[in-house]
Amino acid sequence: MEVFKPVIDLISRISSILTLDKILASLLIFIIGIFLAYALRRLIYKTTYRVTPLHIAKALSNLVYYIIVAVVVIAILSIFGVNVTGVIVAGGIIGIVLGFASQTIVSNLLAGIFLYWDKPFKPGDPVSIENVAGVVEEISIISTRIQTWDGVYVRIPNEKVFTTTIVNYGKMPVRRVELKVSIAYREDFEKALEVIKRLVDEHPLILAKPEPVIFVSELGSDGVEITIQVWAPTSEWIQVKRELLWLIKKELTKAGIEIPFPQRDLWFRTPLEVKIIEKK
Amino acid sequence: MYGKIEQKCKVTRIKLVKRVLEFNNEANSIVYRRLLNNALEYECEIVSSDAMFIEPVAPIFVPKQITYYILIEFVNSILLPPEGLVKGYTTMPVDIAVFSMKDNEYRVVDIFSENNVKYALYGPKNEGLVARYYKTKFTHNIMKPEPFKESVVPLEIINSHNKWVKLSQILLDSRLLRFYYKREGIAYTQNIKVNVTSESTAVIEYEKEFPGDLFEARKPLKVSIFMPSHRRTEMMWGL
Repeated sequence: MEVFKPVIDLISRISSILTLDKILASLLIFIIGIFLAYALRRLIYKTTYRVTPLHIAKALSNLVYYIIVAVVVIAILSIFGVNVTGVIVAGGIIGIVLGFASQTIVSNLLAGIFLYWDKPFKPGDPVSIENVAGVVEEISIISTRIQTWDGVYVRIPNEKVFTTTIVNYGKMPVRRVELKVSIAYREDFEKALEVIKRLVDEHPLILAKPEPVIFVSELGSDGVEITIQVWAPTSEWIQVKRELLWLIKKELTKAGIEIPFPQRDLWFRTPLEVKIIEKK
Repeated sequence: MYGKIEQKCKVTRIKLVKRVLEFNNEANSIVYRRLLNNALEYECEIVSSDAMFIEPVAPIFVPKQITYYILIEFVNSILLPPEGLVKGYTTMPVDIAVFSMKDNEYRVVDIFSENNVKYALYGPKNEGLVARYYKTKFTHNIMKPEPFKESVVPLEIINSHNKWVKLSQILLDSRLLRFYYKREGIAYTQNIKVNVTSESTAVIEYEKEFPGDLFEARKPLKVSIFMPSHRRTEMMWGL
């Protein structure tokens, strides 16, 4: 019988801990706790996924779920007389350590949430952030990913995105293209204006409204400067800008209108003597 | 001509306004060519097509699709008293589509325009809409549109506002427009009702069918989830 004594001791100790009322109480806490955790997870997900990105809603609802599960486990352990003070203290210390370690992550995460609400840009928008210009590929909870014009992948932490100046080139439906062209002083300005106006009128992607503006902006040292301000759909802005200047140059040349290059006429106060030396 | 291409010989040529369309039967396929001043603009080979069609479509595809909207500006504005009603006609541009048909499934082969294409912004610069732009007239009698370039738009304008209103433009949604045609190159849209609700707003409603006995044109845009839920367009930024 001495052989079974430790086993009997263990059973008697377990039976003293596992009383029916304790089992019932812990079962009740477990059922209510898990039900509450599930319900809250569902509720938080359903309410947040409309206003935040899907991954944020998922992470937030899961966080709440696991916190409640942890509280339920601690409560059940304490019912059975397990000293949970140590667990709580350890959890607290781990929390503080993690808190310090994840300061940047948390600030990035909060910036990500604020960016989502503020909506300064969306995936696909052409932007310039922190001197990085390109198309927004993805806005995640921690960072924003941009593909630059030359095809380089850049990841910017959301904290930086949130605190820096953001230029969104695609937010408005239309953008203005401004070009400057010089014509020589001797050329017929009216004719040049007519050529440019015809080009602007014929270009399908230059908007009729807002109306294009063409005017003499400067009487420069080399020629008369003409400024052309036209509006184009934002998605076609770069194409219009690329095409228009070349078309203007081509048509002005075809019309015989000179586009001057920088030049200086030099006048001498005293006449210059020119010597012709004949070589024998 | 609009409609089904009758390919009786090896090469069928169809002259529109400035462009010529050429359909060349080659064994099992048709070589389609679009020519401008005898210069090739576009070429495509269509394999085992049952039939080819030329039809008018909404003027939003040239040079590329950037909008669904069409802004028609009247050179003659219309002044309407409170509860005033006027019926008439206007015109709008059309693009021309070439469709290929196989087993009741159709596919766009080419879309082009015989018009001078121009777009404009309707509304403010920060939230307005880019729309295909066309300047035309409002008339009481049906006008003869330019074949292959224009479509007749039957209009009914009602002033539901309690003050006089001046209407000088209408905004149409191409997704809600239907085009009908006669073989000789004349296109029509369904009846369109313009309900002016204030000095700067109006609601455009589109009838479902054209009452006349005409051919209905196919639509290059397939029905998608982005289709407007109501058969109307709201003009919010001026008339």
